[in-house]
Amino acid sequence: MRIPLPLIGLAAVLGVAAAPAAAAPKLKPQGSATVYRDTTTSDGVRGVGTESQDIVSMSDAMFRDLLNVPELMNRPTPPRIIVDPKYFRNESSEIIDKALITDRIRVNLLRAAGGRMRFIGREYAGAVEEERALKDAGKVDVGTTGRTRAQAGADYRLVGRIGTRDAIDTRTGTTSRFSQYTFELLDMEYGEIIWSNLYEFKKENRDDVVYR
Amino acid sequence: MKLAALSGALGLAVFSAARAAAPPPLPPVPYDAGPEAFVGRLATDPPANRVLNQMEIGARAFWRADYATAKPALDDAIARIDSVFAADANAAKARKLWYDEGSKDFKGEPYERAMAFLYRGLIYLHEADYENARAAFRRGLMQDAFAEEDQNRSDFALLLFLDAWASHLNGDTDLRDETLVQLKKLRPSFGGIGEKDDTLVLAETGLAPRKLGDGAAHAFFVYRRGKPIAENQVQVMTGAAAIQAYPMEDLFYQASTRGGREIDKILAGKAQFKATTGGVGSFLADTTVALSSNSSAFSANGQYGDAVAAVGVLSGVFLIVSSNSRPQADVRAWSSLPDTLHVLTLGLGGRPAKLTARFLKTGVPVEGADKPIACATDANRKQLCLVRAH
Repeated sequence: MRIPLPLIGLAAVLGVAAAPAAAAPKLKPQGSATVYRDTTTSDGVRGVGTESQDIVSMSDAMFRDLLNVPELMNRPTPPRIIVDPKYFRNESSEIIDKALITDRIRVNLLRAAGGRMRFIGREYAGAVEEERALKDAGKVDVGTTGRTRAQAGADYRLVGRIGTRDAIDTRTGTTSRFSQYTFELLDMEYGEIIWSNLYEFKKENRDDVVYR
Repeated sequence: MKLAALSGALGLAVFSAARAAAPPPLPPVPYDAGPEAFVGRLATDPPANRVLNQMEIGARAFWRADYATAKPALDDAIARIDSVFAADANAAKARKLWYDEGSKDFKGEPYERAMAFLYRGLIYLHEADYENARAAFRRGLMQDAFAEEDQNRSDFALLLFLDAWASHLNGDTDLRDETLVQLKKLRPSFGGIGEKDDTLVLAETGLAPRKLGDGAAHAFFVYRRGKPIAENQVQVMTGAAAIQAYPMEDLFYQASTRGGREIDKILAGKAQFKATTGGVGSFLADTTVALSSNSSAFSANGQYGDAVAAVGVLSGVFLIVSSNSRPQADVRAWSSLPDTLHVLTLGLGGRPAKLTARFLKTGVPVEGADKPIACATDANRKQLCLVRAH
């Protein structure tokens, strides 16, 4: 059978046209239901910053290490410690809620220490002061644990620093960030650092060429 | 010939369907309008415009002191700016023949990304969270570093200044001084930050840089200064005295010093392909004309004539392909940005500031009364004072 030339042309045209149309991805973004994810797994949204798994890993590593500090664990009188974000300085390019880390260390340490350490809630000192003023004024009774002369002073305080070093290769669009979290335990009377540890990681990624 | 015409029509239809261009631009929103229009667009616009709309919402709400609206909008924009689109389908589409550059997810040009971090950082300052403010300003600097050639990397002086200011407020004088040394290289005439300064005045003048499509088929875009620029200087009036605010950043300069290098590079590939396709199409079109004019000489029973028609259809389709694969540059732009940003630091000892701003164009006051400067005192009695000309 002789195929007319125009039909061959049409077939060629449709062939050329159909190929990319078939290959084109779906235009509608596909939504997904909210799901619970393991906090120790890497985030679905990836960047070079600190992710949940980093927070979990570093705080777990720190509290486990703190449980091995002789000055803390072998004292006949349990030492008093402040673990809050106030002197945990963020000098990095990381926007972060520092309390995520310090809260996790404090909670785990408190639960694991079994009374061998005492924790001072200095960030709640205002609330304590308010209550003590009410008791002093006789507007409320003394409660069941009795009165003390003052709020508890601390023997040690968790201090530290978050630092980052960012690097960018403008040719390739590669971004890398070295992050270093320094944790230290400061003697609040003598100023000695009795314990130190580091948590560090480096992440690198490369964005799509259209965003460079 | 009918079949030839049919094949052409079908080709056009299939190619039209295959192509997914950026949606037509929405009508502009007045410069001084609130975030409402963009809140509406969040729901109606394609997801590719989400970051742009969030940037607009963030800045417009920020300038209305509606931080509850500005904060999540800027956080959302920043999260998406930060996320890596290495395996993103829309980015892949933007690289393809069939899609406009403007169909990709908007992340903003580096100066726009930097400004998103800048506004977020200012909100952190307002909340007395100086460390995260500093982190935001540093992240903004990194966005700028994406843009520049080696000699221009991270030359966003305003972000360096704000980094130093955040360190100053946080009591990190060592970090402040280190940053001020860097700033001095970019702005030698800047006087620095006084030890007792506790108030920052930030003023914006002029209108946002514009992105204009240029070249054949708007294959690339060029930056133009916003217009009109009615003022370019600010005097801060403290009672009777007038203090000139320091013009710390020219946003148009930040936008345009890239010279379109990266974008040109990206679009160069497409433009080159387009030129080749266009060339082939043109060549075939010319051949059609040439053969058609001689068809009677070759045609015994009209078959050659039909063959020529088929070639003509094919060449026409290639022209359609060519016109559909136009690498139209992405000219979506953050419209509520200023042209120039000015700063002034004052030591007011924690006293509430009553300041007004007088705008000038090259030394001559512009028409209209002085504008009141909105000052907010944070938990540490540090003040952030904001004013914009428009």
